[in-house]
Amino acid sequence: MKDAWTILKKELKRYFTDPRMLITLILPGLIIFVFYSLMGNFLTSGLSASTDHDYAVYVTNEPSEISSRFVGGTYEITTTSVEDTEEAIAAAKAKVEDKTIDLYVHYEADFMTKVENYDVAQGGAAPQIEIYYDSASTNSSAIYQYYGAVLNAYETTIANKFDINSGSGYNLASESAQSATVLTMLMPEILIAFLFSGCLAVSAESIAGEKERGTITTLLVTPAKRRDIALGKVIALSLTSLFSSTASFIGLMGSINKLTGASVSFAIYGVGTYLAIFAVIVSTVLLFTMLLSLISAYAKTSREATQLAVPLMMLVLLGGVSSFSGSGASANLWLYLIPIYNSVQCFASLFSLSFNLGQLLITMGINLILVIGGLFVLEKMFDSERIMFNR
Amino acid sequence: MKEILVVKDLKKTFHLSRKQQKIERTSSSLKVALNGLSFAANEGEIYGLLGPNGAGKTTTMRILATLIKADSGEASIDGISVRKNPEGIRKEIGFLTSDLKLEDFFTPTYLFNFFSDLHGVEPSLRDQRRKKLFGRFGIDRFAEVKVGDLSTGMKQKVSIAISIAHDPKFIIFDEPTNGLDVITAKSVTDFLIELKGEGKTIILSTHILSLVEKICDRIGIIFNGKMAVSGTLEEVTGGRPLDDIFFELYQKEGGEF
Repeated sequence: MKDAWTILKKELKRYFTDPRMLITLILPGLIIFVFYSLMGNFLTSGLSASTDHDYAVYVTNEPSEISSRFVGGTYEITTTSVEDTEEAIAAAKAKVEDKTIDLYVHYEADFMTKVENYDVAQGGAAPQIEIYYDSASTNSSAIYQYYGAVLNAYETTIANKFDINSGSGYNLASESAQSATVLTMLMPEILIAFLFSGCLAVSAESIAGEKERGTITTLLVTPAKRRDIALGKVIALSLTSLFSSTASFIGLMGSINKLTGASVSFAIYGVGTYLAIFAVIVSTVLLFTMLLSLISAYAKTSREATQLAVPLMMLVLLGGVSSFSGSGASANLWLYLIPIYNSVQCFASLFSLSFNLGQLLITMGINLILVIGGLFVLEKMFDSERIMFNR
Repeated sequence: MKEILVVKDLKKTFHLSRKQQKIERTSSSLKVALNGLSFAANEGEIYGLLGPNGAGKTTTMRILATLIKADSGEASIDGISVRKNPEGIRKEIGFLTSDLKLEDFFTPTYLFNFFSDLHGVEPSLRDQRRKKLFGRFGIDRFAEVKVGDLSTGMKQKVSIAISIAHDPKFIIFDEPTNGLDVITAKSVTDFLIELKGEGKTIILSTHILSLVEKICDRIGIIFNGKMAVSGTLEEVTGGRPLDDIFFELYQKEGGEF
């Protein structure tokens, strides 16, 4: 064990005193924060139309009962009447297409009379309103949505028999429950991906790189037990990966409100939940580091190690998708015997505030068993001349 | 004289990948590296292992250093079996090969301390050894410079110092002067003689016949994984130049120029 500690200290010194290495560890978190914040800003501003824009809308046969509903509305609209001829209609559509105007609305002739005479019970074709818009234009899409909403509201007032949830205050979910739903949907997938990428950045290169550079031979001729070499390396890599993953996690926490456009609070979770999340993170990082170390030991070069890690990455991402429904974690404890999937489900369980100790213990137990088994295999790999020296 | 190293009938065959078969220009997937190699070295002597490329010198060195295992045969150092007690062997030997590299990021001082710790050297003794070896090789001035920033010669000196940090009595040097300039090579050669003076047993593999003539007490010449001839320099050469003997044996074994 003394040798494992000596190797652990050396590995940590390499990662944490080399400025270039340190930047590599912290940079993903910074990039995530900046990139996700910018992306959130971009998406929010890109999808919401400007209220300062003067919207140009061409109309044909627009009844005064309807046109009056747009006066003093959310958007400033300049309406221009177009004759009900084929040429004029085609010209108006062309203007929407070339983005000269934002919308063209065509009402049937005598629209209101037809509406008054229309009997739903008798069936037949209802009076038509055709709205032409350009989905590639943010302004055109926005005014199309708005115009449609005003028309729907008007239609409701014509034949209103009853209202459902008129006004607000009907959603009885607490703010914390709403935050939990958003976080349950997003965090497990993103967290598992960050944990894996943090481990991949550090572990894939580790042993394969030493084989490539010839430094592993120097270590293997010392009396240090192969088990101690494996243990020292895996713990050092896990701690380093944990540091990198934590930086990414903090970056994500800092940018999640911008990214989702919602007001999500991390304060809804107590200390116990955070400790449980941390425990799952540690056991998952240990598992990923172990698996990637085995791949790295098997590979002849760092490049080959990264290539061999791709199928594992696919499995991790696939496991992460299982949390996307946002409905929380699976209640079937047998499923927690499946590695990677169990970590994702545990995260889902913890983020959805439906913590289950059994799930946590099974997940940590399985991960720990796999890590111990992996250490045994890694020890054998260090002793195999075919794996260590066959280039 | 006590025989400290005994090698008996060592055999080793490597499996070649397709890529290696192409490089070796052979259709066989097997390569016999050692084919019943036997020899012995006495305590306190320098034993020189000679042979052309691919003769099996490095394989022998690696088996003795416990990095690889022989298919059959036996080797022991000071009575410790290489096969049965590899960890015991690693405690007793110092090993240096040109394949052996140091991590560029660390300083000679840090690496010397690190490897000494793995060998279980007491800190006070470790500092004493470091001072002595760094002084001997002129590493002092570069002791806190990262290995990656050192010259090839200085890196090799640091490697030698680290390989004997634990003061082993049996030392395996595989091509220790390979790629070094004349001055650094002389410094290394002189150091080998000093080590012999301290009573160390050294197994030296090299291509440089003049080096063998100068410092080795006994030599062995390997061809095709077998010992062609072994003995003192006088016994092997009979007073003739070593290179004449070497090339005669080489041709006798079917070697081509």
